[in-house]
Amino acid sequence: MKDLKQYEDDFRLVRAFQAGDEKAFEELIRKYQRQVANIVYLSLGDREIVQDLVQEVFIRVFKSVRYFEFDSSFYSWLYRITVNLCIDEIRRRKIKRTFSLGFLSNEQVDEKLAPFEKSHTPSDLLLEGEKKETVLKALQKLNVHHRAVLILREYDELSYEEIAKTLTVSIQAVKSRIFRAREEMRKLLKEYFKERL
Amino acid sequence: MNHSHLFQMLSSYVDRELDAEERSLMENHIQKCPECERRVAELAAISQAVRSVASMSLPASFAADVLRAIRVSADESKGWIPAEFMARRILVGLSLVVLLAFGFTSLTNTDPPVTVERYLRGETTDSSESQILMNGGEISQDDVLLAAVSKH
Repeated sequence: MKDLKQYEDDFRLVRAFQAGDEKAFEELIRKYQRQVANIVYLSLGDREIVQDLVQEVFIRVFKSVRYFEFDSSFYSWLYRITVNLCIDEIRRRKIKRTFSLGFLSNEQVDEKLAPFEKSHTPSDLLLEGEKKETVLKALQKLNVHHRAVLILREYDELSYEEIAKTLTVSIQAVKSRIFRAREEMRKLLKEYFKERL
Repeated sequence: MNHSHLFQMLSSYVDRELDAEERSLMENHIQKCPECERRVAELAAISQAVRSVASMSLPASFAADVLRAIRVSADESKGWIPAEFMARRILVGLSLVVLLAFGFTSLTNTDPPVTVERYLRGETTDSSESQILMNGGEISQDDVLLAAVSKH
């Protein structure tokens, strides 16, 4: 949960930018670039694309900030744009992957997917970097909507109410999606937990 | 209360999203239930795992780079006329040409004025009949009377 000061500070910067102060927009970028980058990274699991997508998020913000009506927090609005962009990218990649795998035989597909499946065996969990990779890959296996709520909750520590406002869903839906996402993560990270608990 | 429902409540419990009564209920249960206690530890581990993965940071120049990209894209769009605007311009141009041509034809038309008398005598052509309509020519009562007298 963010504090009231952050709300007001953001509103002040948005108002200044709406009045033509470009420096205020630059400050908003600096303030949120890390959070947005990590939401994109956790959502897509691809370090290479993060910078381009974060840039795209802020370009969209730049183009539409004049329509921001101060009826929700700025970061809710910013995260909504981020999550929607990530969901679009995930869908675009799924279509691309379906087409590229469509031309392979079953054996070739198994071969291509083997490194990902293998990363869930205990031997692959030995190195810290690989552990992170395992967690990241587990996240990528979640349904996109479950993934989004889990990231906003675990990484950004938003309250259920804030997540509901950000994703324009009910609090009950947030509660249920978080529970399901965690259940899936528990199953996917079984080996991780064996070592940790 | 069954365990499936309890697990769902545990998720809200670790997020501090239960009210005081539910929270105390859960705390009492966790103390007595090793399975739920293990679940709480797993949920905490998931949170910690997700946070530990989030290690992305962007270059210090990122904000300035974004603004530069926005300016470049704005400059590029200045010299480019979208297809919709181009089509609109062509339509306006064509309409002007049609209006000018029509105005010119009307000015250069030398046909005598059309009256009811000439019409009833059959002295008008198709074009002069349309002309009276197009020009909004008016027929007076005298025209009608004169035409009626001369016909008989």
